[in-house]
This record gives sequence, structure tokens and C-alpha cells, in this order.
Amino acid sequence: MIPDGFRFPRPTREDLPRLARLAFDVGAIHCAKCRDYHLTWPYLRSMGLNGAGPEYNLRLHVELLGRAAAGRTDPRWLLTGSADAGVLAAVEAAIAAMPPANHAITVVDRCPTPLALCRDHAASTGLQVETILADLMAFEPAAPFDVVLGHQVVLFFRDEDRPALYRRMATWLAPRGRLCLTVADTTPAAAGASEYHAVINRWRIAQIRADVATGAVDLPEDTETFIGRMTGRLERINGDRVFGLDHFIGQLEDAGLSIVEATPMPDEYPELTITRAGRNRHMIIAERREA
Amino acid sequence: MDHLPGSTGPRRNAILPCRSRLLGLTSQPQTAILRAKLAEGAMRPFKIIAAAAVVLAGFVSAAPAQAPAPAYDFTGRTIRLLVGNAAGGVTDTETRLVARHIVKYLPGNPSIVVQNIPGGGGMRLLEFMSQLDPVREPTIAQISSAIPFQARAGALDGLFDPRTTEWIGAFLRSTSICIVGTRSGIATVEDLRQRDATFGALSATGTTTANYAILKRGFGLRITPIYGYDTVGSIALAVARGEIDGACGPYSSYPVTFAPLIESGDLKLLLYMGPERRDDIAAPYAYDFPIVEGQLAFFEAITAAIGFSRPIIAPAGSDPAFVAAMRVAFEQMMVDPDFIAEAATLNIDLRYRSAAELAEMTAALYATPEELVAEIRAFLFE
Repeated sequence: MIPDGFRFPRPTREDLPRLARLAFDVGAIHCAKCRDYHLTWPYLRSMGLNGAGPEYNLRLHVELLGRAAAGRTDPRWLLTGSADAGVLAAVEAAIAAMPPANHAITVVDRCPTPLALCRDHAASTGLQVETILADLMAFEPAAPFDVVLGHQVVLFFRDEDRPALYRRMATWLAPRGRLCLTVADTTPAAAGASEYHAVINRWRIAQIRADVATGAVDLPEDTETFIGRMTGRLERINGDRVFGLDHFIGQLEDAGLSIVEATPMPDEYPELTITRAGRNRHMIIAERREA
Repeated sequence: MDHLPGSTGPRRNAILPCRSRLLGLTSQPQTAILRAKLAEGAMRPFKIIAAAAVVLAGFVSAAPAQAPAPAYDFTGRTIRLLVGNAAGGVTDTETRLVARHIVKYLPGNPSIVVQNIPGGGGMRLLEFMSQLDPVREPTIAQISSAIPFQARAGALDGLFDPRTTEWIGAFLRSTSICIVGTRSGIATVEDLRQRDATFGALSATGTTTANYAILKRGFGLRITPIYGYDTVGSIALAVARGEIDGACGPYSSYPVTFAPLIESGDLKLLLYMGPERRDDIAAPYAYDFPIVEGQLAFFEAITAAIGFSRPIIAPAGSDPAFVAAMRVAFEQMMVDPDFIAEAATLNIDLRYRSAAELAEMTAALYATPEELVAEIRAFLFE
């Protein structure tokens, strides 16, 4: 269970309150189906109520991404899909732990809101970031990348569409380039996704109301309207379908990729049993299989 | 939005009081150099007449006569010209133009090397410059027009003080154009009063951002700035793709950056802004728009704050002889026909401001009431 008053840490360099306000402004202009998701996600992270961002396993992200980019001269990174600037901030942390080099980061997303947040974060930290508004199924990069990162991006694709996505991703890789995908195992053994969401949402709602009452957060709209957005925000493309790690690996191999490693991303907060039950994640690192 | 009572259209009187301050106009005639060049017929009127008029406008307001150039031995030296923008962008192009031409007026045939230090809206450049020994490493820098205000607002943590920096001169007429993407659905300025829109910018502290503040607060346009682009070109592409709705940028970026995308139908020219009305831009002039009620003082203060168009500085503590020689060379460059002609081909709109004029503008900036400075600072940076 989640201890009363618990908040997830916010170890990245993001100015989360500022980014949350910006997400609300930009999302109101540009978002359609993704509006509730993009308007609430950064606020949840800002309040320490989101256990699903890359910061949840930041140390491991830094280690794994560092391995994926090791030995590259001036690595080129592609971030495919981003709820906000969180994935960018995780890459930033990984870069900070690497030997000095000129890193070029491209973020591609089908929605302008996360791109705006990435731009804003980059502006405040001096990162050189390119943003491209495009659907991943239509994205045609001008040059290949050393690391292609997809943090939970496969969630937003129907399972039957994923092989085509993986084949496209394989073509974006430079020689010896690495595809890094974080995926969630939703088999019954990993289990508990529905229970997880129900419990964590109850906890979030209580914390949001408490923060509003104490003035710890200044929501840009009525509290209950915000809570309504938050609870209905997820676009559940695959419903309750079950996907195990082997399923993802099989699809990647069928798409012409070789698996380099599939590393469990263990819970960094062992007291939160509910989160471990709901998010049994792995980062799969793959490379293009040469003919 | 609340506008001035009874205003139904252009109300230019509302901004007239600030115009003279924007232009920095005084009644002191100057300069002998330009007159002499014109008298000699050294300038090709058919190519440079407009630019010459602009230059002349600048000289009208310029400083007391320069003292004869003191001896500074440039022989064998390499002078760094720093620019806080990425290579290949508009500002970089302008800076390299200066580098190519000012060197002709530096005795001793020195080299000038342009060094790009982009990032943080000019902060990285200031940090770099603060670590130099300005006497042993003679350096000049082209800084963002918004930097002096940032210093005035206390946002630079001692990195830069416009009261102690060595102004060399400024060379640009600060006309900006604003475009919107065809995909945005925005067709007119009125549309921007009715709906929210995202506009791209390089940094949260640059001139473009100040322009957005003017459009937003002064004229009631519903702009949300998106920061972090590396060049105006990347902003234009983002607008064309629909990632953001619009952008403003220097007029000099129009032919290369914006015009092709306007011709292809991806962008639309929305308006232009700057201290002077122009006949050669087929778009509404923003300063004709009615100012939102109660915002005149803010409008005047912020427009004055960004009036330092493309200033060149030497760090405080530079060799006085070096500074004096650079000022003289800068002034001579501004009336160099080849410089003016090349600027025209690059669509760079020249307007000379002397070191003394920039110092006067600095004094005016520091005379701005604290509460107004705090208000602008909050609007821009917080």
C-alpha cells in the first residue's frame, strides 16, 4: 500500500511547476484526444504523485542509456514519444554521467504539447534539442541515430501495429545503434494493473485535495474538474489484453532486431507494494540484425 | 480584452510619446564621415539609398564627436568577436558581416575570429566573457538586445552591467515580422485576440520574447511563448509543420527563412513591429493597434528596454585604446559602401547607434521606475 503522505521524489532537473503550467496552456491550444493526459501528467509529476515517469528508475535509466550510447562519438539520440520533458530529463541525466561529447537530441511526437515542454526544458538547461511533430508511423529522419529510446511508447500502439513500428525503428538506427524500449509486462503473473490504477488514483485524489487545501499547489482549474481529467486520462488502446516480456521480444526479433539485453527495472521504493504489482517493467535494448 | 474607451481602430497617438525615446532622437547633428562619403559619391545611391537614410537617421542622434583614435597596436593580433547564437542563424550572419568589414578599419591588419557561444539566451556568452582577461585577450561581443534590460532587472548575477561595459556601437534597425502557420487556422490579428496560440522563441530572455510581451500585454494578443529553439529557421519549420502556431523574428530573416515558406503556402505574414513604420512590408504595423487600457507605461518601458538593436560591446576592463579604436572602426564601417551593399543583399536593415547613444539609453533604462522594471521582469522571466 502507499503510506499516507508519501510522494515520489523528483530527481530530474526539470522545473516541474513551470512545465505543468506550460503544459496546461499549450495542451489547451493543441491537444485533442490527448488533452486530459497532457494537461494533468506534468502536474502529477510536479506534486510527486506519478510513479510511472522515467525518474522512477532514474539511476537505472542512467546506467542503461549510458551503456547503450557507450563508445559513440557525438551520439545522436532520438526520443520517440514523450508525455512531457521527463524522458528528455532522464537522457540529460544519462548524458551528464558520460564522458564529454557533443550530444544531439531529437524528440519526435505526434502532439505539440510534449515538444513544447521539451523545448522549454532545453532552453532552461542549455541542452541542444530538436523537436519534430510527426506520427511515428510517418516519421522519416534525415539521418540515423545512435540511440532510439521509446519509454512506454508502445502503449500507444495497438499490438497488431507494433511489428510495423519496430521495423520502422530499426531503419532509424545507425550502424551498431541501439533501440531502447521500456515495456510493461501485463501478464497475470505481473498482474494487478487494474488494482494498481484504482489504488493509486484514490491516493492521488486525496493528495491533490490536500495540496489544494494547503495551497501547496495552485491548480489552473477547479479541483474536481482536474481530478476528473486525471482519472479519465489514459488512452487504453489495448484494453485488458495481456502481454508478457517474451511477446515483446518475439515481435522485435521478427522485425529484424537482435536483443542485446532485457533488464528488469526493479522497484526503487520497496515499501510501495502496490506500484510493484502494477508496473513490472523492463528495458529491452536491441540492435539491428545485419543481413 | 479591454481597450481604450472609444477606440475602434488604429490609435497611433497612444504610442507617440514613446517614439522619440525609441528612436533615441536628439537634435545633435553628426557625422562628418557620412557627409563626406556622400559628397565624394563613394556610395552607390541606387543600391544603398534606403540604407543610407537609415544610417543617417542614426547619426542624427549620435554622440559627441569621437576623439582621434589613440594608438593601439593591432599588429599580429587576433580579435575575438563573440556571438551568443548558433552558427548559421540570422544573428550569426549579421555578426560575421561585421567581422568581415570592421577589420578593414583596424590598423595593423589584425584577424577577427567569430566565435559562437549559444545557449541560455546569451548567458553562456556572458559567462565565457566574464572569465576572459580583456586586456590580454582583446574581445568584442554582439549581445542580445534584451541583455541590458536583464541586467537592469537584476537577472544577470553580476555577469554584465551595461553601465560599466564598453559600448562599441549598434548596427541594426530592430524591425521584426510575425508569421503564423497555415495549419494554425489563424488568418488575421483579430483571430489572435479571439483564441490562444503558441509562438516559438529562442530563449525566455531574448528580444523575441519581449516582442511577445508587447503583443500580448500591450495589444491583447493571446500568445503563449514556446522557448528553446536554436535558430529562427528551426522555429519557422516548426510553425510550418504545425508544432507551434506562429513566430516573430528579425526582418533580416525574412527572405531566407520565411519567404520560401510563405510562397509554398505553409506560412502567412501576420504583422510587423519595430520603432519605425515601413512601406516595404505588406502587413499591418503592430504599433497601429490600440494599446490595452492601462498598459501604456508597460508598453513604453518594454519597447525602450529592447531598443539596443544588435549592440557590440567590449568587456569592462578592456584597454581604453582598444575600445577607442574599435569605436572608430565601427563608425567607419557603418558608412563603408561595401558593408552597406552587402548588408542590403542580406536584407540586413542598418541603423547606427554610437557608443554614447547606447550609454544614454542605458541611463534611461536605469531611470525606469523600479516597480515598472519589476513588472516587466515578472512578465518576461517568471
